[in-house]
Amino acid sequence: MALGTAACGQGRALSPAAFSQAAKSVQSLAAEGALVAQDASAGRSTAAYVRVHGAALSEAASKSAAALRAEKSAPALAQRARTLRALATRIAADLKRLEHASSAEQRRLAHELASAAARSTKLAKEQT
Amino acid sequence: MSLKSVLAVALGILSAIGGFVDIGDLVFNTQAGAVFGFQLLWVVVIGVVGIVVYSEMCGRVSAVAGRPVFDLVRERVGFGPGLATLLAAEFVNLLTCAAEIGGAAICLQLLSGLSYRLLIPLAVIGLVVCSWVLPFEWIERVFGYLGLCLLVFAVAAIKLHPSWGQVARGFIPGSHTGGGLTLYLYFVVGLLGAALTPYEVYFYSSGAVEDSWGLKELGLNKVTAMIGYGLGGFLSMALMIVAGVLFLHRGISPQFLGTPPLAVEHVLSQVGLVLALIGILFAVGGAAIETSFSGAYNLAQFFGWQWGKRERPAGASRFTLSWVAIFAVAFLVVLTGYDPVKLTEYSVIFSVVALPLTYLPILLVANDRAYMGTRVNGRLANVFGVIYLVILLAVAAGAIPLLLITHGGQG
Repeated sequence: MALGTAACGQGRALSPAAFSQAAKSVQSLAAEGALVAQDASAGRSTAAYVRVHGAALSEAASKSAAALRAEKSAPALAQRARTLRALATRIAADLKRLEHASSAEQRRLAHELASAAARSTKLAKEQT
Repeated sequence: MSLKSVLAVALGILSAIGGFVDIGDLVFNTQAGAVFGFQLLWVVVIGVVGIVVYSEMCGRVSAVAGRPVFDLVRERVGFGPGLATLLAAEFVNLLTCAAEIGGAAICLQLLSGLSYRLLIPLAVIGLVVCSWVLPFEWIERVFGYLGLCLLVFAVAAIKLHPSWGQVARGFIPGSHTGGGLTLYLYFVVGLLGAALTPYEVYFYSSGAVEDSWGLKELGLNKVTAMIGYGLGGFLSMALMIVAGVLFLHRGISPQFLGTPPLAVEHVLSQVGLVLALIGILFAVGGAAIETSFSGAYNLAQFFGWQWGKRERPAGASRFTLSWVAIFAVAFLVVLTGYDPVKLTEYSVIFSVVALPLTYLPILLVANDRAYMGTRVNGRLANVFGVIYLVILLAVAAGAIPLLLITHGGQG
């Protein structure tokens, strides 16, 4: 939901509150993606669910990255906004790979997504 | 309980599964659990008691007067207020029906992996065919009982081993942690709105007439309302608990209809996932039928047309055309690509604004001796009825401001 807000702010300067909201949203997508990947690697999920839900999460992460790209950031925020954007882009790519990944790769992706979630949380906390 | 009795409470089960646990509840309960853990469980209890009180009134009115509530509302409150109630109810019905159709298409997609765009028309065609072909009681049974697959959420809640002490504390309103006061109040409003959606009582009331309830069914009415909505409340609590255990500490904010089944999959594997998706499919599918029928019932009863699923389509042509048209317009709304989850949030909040318009006339009719004779509300029903009306007025006044202040629940 927060992604919508970030996207709505296109063309305007990215406020600290909007950045924090966007970071929490990216964190949520990465954490959910990590859970999907973890269950998929453990054989607890179905191929259709992993593909469809993974794609929905990936698309949301891509939209978040695009929204961050369109935002003008204040100099104090610029570096962190770039980091968050790169993180969102990587999360989107990881989630896209999930569908065709082997169990071992799904485990690795779960680990990567969990790390990305932790980094997003750190970015959101640094801001607040 | 005999098989006949089990089948007889199907109306309550469908109203509860398709109404109480529709896409609105799936969204609001899991989001509330993901943000506030178990701290909002008390709101579910308030919602369940409210819907039981008013559904029992509606069922009693239909059984005693032999006429559904909307029919009597226009007669009792007059054309102007009746028209306002009709317009508000139809707007919310349409939005909700669109959200439920979108939800059904998403479930089919998560089950099959096929394209969402392809599945939207298939979902609508499937629902229209079921509504057309199946007799009323079989619509109740098929969607009500298959919706019971949602019970896997209760199994998942137990298997996730929540802190039962914390769960118990969630039934006592008080201070909260995890989000600001406005966000907390937004979820209170959303959960009450999702529990007391107007179409539930209109459908229940008209369904009682479709099922030919009379004075003999007054006991069944009480049991049906309590079991049906009690079950719905139980499932809502299960949704909130699984979200509180699995999503809260991970910082997952559920934005998709595919997120709640993830909690079941995590503890019950593929079988749990498939059952959860089937349960959601029939719950939202049942709710789509309820909303389209509810809209057609309201129109037909307001304008005095022949109505009812028991009638042949040609015998109640304007009624039949109305529910088909509601499906058609809802289909077009979903085709715009608007997110069904977002649509749900708006439909629930707008339905909250319309709640007093729905429930005040019901209370008036249930107290009118001209219709009810000696079966008017007793003191207890009136005390609860009035208390809930005050709650609904407060909630209706706060709904839109809270939607704007919290940016639709984002905090």
